[in-house]
Order: sequence, then structure tokens, then C-alpha cells
Amino acid sequence: MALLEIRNLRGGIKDQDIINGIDLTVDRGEVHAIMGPNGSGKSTLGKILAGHEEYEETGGTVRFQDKDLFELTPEERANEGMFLAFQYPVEIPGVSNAYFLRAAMNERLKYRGEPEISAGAFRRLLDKKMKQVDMDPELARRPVNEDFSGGEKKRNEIFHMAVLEPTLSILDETDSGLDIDAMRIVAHGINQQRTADNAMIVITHYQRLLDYVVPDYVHVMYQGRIVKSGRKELAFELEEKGYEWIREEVEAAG
Amino acid sequence: MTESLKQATTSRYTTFYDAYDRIRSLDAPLWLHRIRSDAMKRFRELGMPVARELTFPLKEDWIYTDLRQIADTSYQAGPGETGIPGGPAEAGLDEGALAPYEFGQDGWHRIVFVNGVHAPALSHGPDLPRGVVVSSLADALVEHPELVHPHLARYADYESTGLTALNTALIENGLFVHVPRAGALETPVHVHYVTTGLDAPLATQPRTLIAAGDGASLKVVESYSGLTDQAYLTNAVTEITVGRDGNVEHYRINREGEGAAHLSTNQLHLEGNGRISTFNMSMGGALTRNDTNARLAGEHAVVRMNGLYLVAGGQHVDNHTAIDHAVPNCDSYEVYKGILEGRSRGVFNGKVFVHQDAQETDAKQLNKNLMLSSDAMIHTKPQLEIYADQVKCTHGATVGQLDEDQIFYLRTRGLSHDSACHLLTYGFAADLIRRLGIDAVRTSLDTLFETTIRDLSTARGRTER
Ligand SMILES: Nc1ncnc2c1ncn2[C@@H]1O[C@H](COP(=O)(O)OP(=O)(O)OP(=O)(O)O)[C@@H](O)[C@H]1O
Ligand SMILES: [Mg+2]
Repeated sequence: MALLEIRNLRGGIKDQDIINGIDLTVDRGEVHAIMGPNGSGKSTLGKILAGHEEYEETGGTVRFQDKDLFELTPEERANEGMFLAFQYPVEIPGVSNAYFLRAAMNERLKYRGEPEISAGAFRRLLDKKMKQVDMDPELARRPVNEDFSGGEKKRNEIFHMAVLEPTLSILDETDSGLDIDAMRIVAHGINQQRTADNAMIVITHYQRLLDYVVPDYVHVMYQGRIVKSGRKELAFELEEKGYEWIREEVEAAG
Repeated sequence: MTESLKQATTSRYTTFYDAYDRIRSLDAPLWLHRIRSDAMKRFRELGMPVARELTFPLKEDWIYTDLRQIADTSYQAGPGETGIPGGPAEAGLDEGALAPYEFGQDGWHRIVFVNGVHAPALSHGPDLPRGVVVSSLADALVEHPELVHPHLARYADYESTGLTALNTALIENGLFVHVPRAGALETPVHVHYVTTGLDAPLATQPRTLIAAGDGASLKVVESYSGLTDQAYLTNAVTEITVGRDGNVEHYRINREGEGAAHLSTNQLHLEGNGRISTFNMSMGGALTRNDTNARLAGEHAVVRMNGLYLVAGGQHVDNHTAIDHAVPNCDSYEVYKGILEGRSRGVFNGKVFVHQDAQETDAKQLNKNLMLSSDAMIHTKPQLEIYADQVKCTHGATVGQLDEDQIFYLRTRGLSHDSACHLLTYGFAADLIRRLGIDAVRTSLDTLFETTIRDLSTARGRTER
């Protein structure tokens, strides 16, 4: 059984499907890149998988670690090992990053029936992870994302991911808004977390990230469907030619 | 006024009048007799501020907070000879009973009043620096009348406000702190006004006087705790004066009992370059009304006036603040935050007066409210009156709910819906607590705040199910 199995998934907002039948299988150890024009439904897919209540699945099935995903609340999905790095991370005023991560960590341990982490052990873990993703310790003390720069918010998502060690990470345009050095650092952070046991879905517009985080598969999303899949070379082709030829292909297939 | 209303109102306050008769028969300096009798005269004329019996403009200050029921209640007024159990012994109180309301500091100066009566057995503190007085007001009136006289009832106006007139007419006891010129009282003072279970509703009139001389500094925590769910009334007046270059930190915590009405007037007076930071946390009581007024009387004075109110069920909390910029070059910073659950009601009214010659005034005011229930309600109103032209004055008021996107974000990291709401509620006001100057106060109020909102969200979970 694959880690994630999406079969003919449909869904969206109230009266309108945005996802129009997606099939995708992700195995442990794999990195899947999803590309596609603005508005094609990439973020919506991420939100449906993570369980955002504004979005509703209207058809198909998703199994995550052999469980029916839609039977699980967002926090259960998270504690089962799913992680969504937001395209637009949310500010949480008044709550320090470190305090919040400890709360998240403990919820996860509780979910798994393990004892809470001690203050000392958590501090050591945090130090280790900050080094791993080259995080400014000052940002760990500050309230979550509040008054962070766009790039700092993206890096903070990777920091959260490093601390929570998910089995499936969905990274929604984590590379956009990063300067060249930050992109390299973030990519390094992502690569450090790649293991044979976990998997990633990397949503991006730029082939540059994929130079660093080399994907096993590249998918192109268009009008709520995966219309083309390939190996990493597909990303080069898209970079070179844009999406026009994809549109033409889809329309020709009609 | 209709005849029947007149009938009803003429029988009001008789126990207060009796209490006054008792108190005036006690030994006291002549000047204090005079103040009490002037105040009593005013109270007989003014009574308590009951909105529908008032006229404009005073009526405006009381439209959302109705004191009629309180005015109509015949309270047992005043401790001591009226036979009300006052002392801690009668009330069955010991250190252990007060422990949950302490700030965990053995070394502090502590003065406890139980049902308005000073409890020396529960009051203690380390040796005082030279010239510093920390004592009950009654003791100070005997031992240091010359230190009390220049300040008592000089700041809180009993001419125009009925509640201050009532408290002043019945001045009997409370806290007195005096730090002379250039003195420093490093150890905080905790004055604890406790009310315990009684046969009949009791009214107390706690009076706190804090005087820091030129260049003097001190820290006071003033807390009100109710160990009973029965009805009672606290009508408190606190006066704080700080001389040139002086510095006062003041914390006020209301943990009155469920049935309590807590009315308070807090009058701050600042001389040149003086500083007062006051933090007012309201959690307890069925009805709370705080009037906190600051007069910036000398140039370059700075007042920080922060507050946090946390109410649920049918609680009502009203904070009226007024900052009077009388001279140039003063700063005032004010942040009040409210968390309202259940059918609770909140009122915030922030007046800022900038007099014509108060140039270069910097006045900032902010009131933010988090509504945890659709049945809760808040009336918030900034009221700026600016007559000078070279000033920086800003104000803002917000009323909001928990944000769904924030809740979702936290849930994607594994927090349950309840934990997410709890964390967001905590984050809403945590900055106010984080800024508190005394470590022990910050830590204990942080814990108190956390557990209180946890209880609020559990209560919400229950009503939703
Ligand atoms: N809550 C919503 N209400 C209305 N329309 C929505 C909502 N969420 C998504 N949409 C619409 O669904 C479509 C897909 O949006 P989505 O954010 O998934 O695109 P995307 O592929 O992530 O685009 P981008 O590359 O710009 O991030 C868009 O047309 C968008 O306007
Ligand atoms: Mg998107």
C-alpha cells in the first residue's frame, strides 16, 4: 500500500468543483513536484488534503497510510504525519514559535500515546533543528510569523516541518519569495529531511528549486486535473516552453 | 422623579448613613472628620450614579452599567462594631486559604483585609528602608498623620462623584504606602482585600493611598478576592501620587466572587517627569466598574495605563479611563484588551483631554476585544478632546472573533480545535502580561490567565455540545 493514494478526487468550494478528478500515488521515499499555471488548483488540492473546512471533497477517495483521509480531522491528519507548508503562512500574534511548536509536539506525542517532551529535551531538539535549517534563533522566540518578512515566513514553515518530522509533506510554493541564498538554504533543509520513509509533494512554479530538490516525478496540473506526468526533465521542458503547449494538448485531446 | 421612585430612593443607603454615624464617633484628626463630613454631605445629595436618575452629561458615563439594583440593596455597611465577622479568625481564614491568591513571594510586604477589617496576623513583611511607611491606613492615621494629611482625598474627587463620596465619607481603613524623597522600596507591597462568606450582603469601602515623593520608587499589587459566591459590594478608591522623577508600578487584580459587585475609582497624579505604570486585570465579580483617571500635572510625566478583562457567563465589566494632559510634553500609553465569552457584557470608554497649552503631548490609546461567543457584547468608545495643536494622539478600537484561517493553520500542525482556540485567545492578550515588570506577578498572572481561558473554552465546549 502506498503512503498516499488519491483516486479520482473531486472537490472545491460550495457550488463549484475546483479539483476535477485527480489520481496520484505517492510512495515512501519519493518526491513529487506539481507544477501548473496560476489558478489551476494546486493550493486547493493541498488544502483539501490537509482538511480545510472551507473546501469539500465531492467525489473519489484518498487513502493516507491506509486510512480513509476524509474520516480524519485536520489535527488527526497532522498527527498521523501529514504536513502542509502554506503558500501564505498565517500570523499567530502573541504566541512564540517555540511555545507553539512545543504545544504541537506534545499533541503529537499524546496522539501516539507517548509521554510529553521535557522542557530540556525540547530545547535541545529545537537547537538541533534550528541549525539544520539555518534558522535565526531570534525568529524562534518571536510570535509565529508575526511581522516576519515573506521569506522568513517560508523558512519558518520548513523549520516547523523539521521539528515535526512528518511522513508526508506538502510544500506549497515554499520557494516563492525567497532570495537566491535563502532558496539554497531552504532546499538544503528540505533535502536533509528526505529519507526512505517519508515523502514530499512539492508545489512550485520554478524549475530552479528542482535543481536542488530533485523530484522523482513531475506532474502538471491544469483546470483541476493532472494532465501530464513525467520525470524531472518535464520541469525543464516547462521552463523552456511555458504552458501553452500543455493547453493545446489538453484541448486537442478534448 | 415620580413619587413612587422617590419613595424607593429615600429609603436607600440608610445602612451607609448609620455606618457614617458610627465612624464619626471614632477618634480621628479634625481634618479627616471634615473630609468625611463634606463627603457624606455630597453623597446624601448625589447618591450612587444610577443612569435613569441622572441627567446629561453624567448620565452618559453610566448608560451601559446599571447600578440601580446595587443602590436598592441594603448592605451591611462597614465592619467592626456592627457585629460583622471581620477578623480572619472569625472568618476561619489562614495562610492556606489565601495561598491560591498569592504571588508566591514570601519576602514581600503583605497587608490583608478580611471583610474590610485589617488582619495583622496575615500581614507581614521585611524591614523597611528609612523613612518608608507601609501600613494600614488606620495605623498610619495614628502614627503618621502628617504624611497622610497632604494626600488623602486630595486627588479622588468626592465633590462630583457619588461613589468616591461614599468611600470617602466612610474612610476607615486600607493600605497606606509612603516612600519619601529619593527613597526606594524595592520589595513589592501586596495589599489583599478579601471578602468571605457572610449572612447578609456586605459593603466594604477599601481605601488605598500610595504616595511616592520626588525621585522615589515603589511597586504595589492591589488585589481583591472573593471567597464566596454570595452577593456583596466592594466600593474601592485608590489614590496614587508620584512626585518629580518618581516611579510607581501598580497592579490591580480583581478576582471577586461570583455574586460580587466591584466598583472602583483609581486616581493617579503625576508631577514633572514622574512615571506611573498601572495594569488592571478584571476577572471576577458579577458586575465590575473601574474608573481609572490620570492627571499629568508636571511636564515630561509618563503614564502607562493597561488593562485586561476576561468575562464569561452573565458577567459585566466596564472600564472608564480618563487621561488629563494638563501641561506640555507628557506621554500617555494605554492598551486595554478584553476577552468576552457567554452572555457577558463589556464597556470601554477612554477619554483623553489635551488642554490648550499641553503642546507636544504624545497620547496613544488602543482597545481590542475578542468575542468568543455571539451572545457577548462590547461597547467601546474612544473620546478624545484635543485643544492643543502640536500633539500626537492616536486611538483605535477593534472587535473581532477568532480567525478561521489561524485555527486551520494551527490544526495542520496537530493542535486540536480547542487547543487552537485556546492558544489564539492566549496570544491575543499575552503581550500585555509579558510586559509586566515584576517577575512573580508576570508568572502568576500568566498562569492565572492561561487557566482562566482554558476554563472558558471548556465551558464553551460544554455549551456547544
Ligand atoms: N475559497 C475560494 N473561494 C473562491 N474561489 C476559490 C477559493 N479557493 C480557490 N478558489 C479558486 O480556485 C482556483 C484554484 O485556486 P488555487 O489557489 O488552488 O490555485 P493555484 O494553482 O494554487 O494557483 P497559484 O499558482 O496562483 O497559487 C482559482 O480560480 C481560485 O480563484
Ligand atoms: Mg497556490
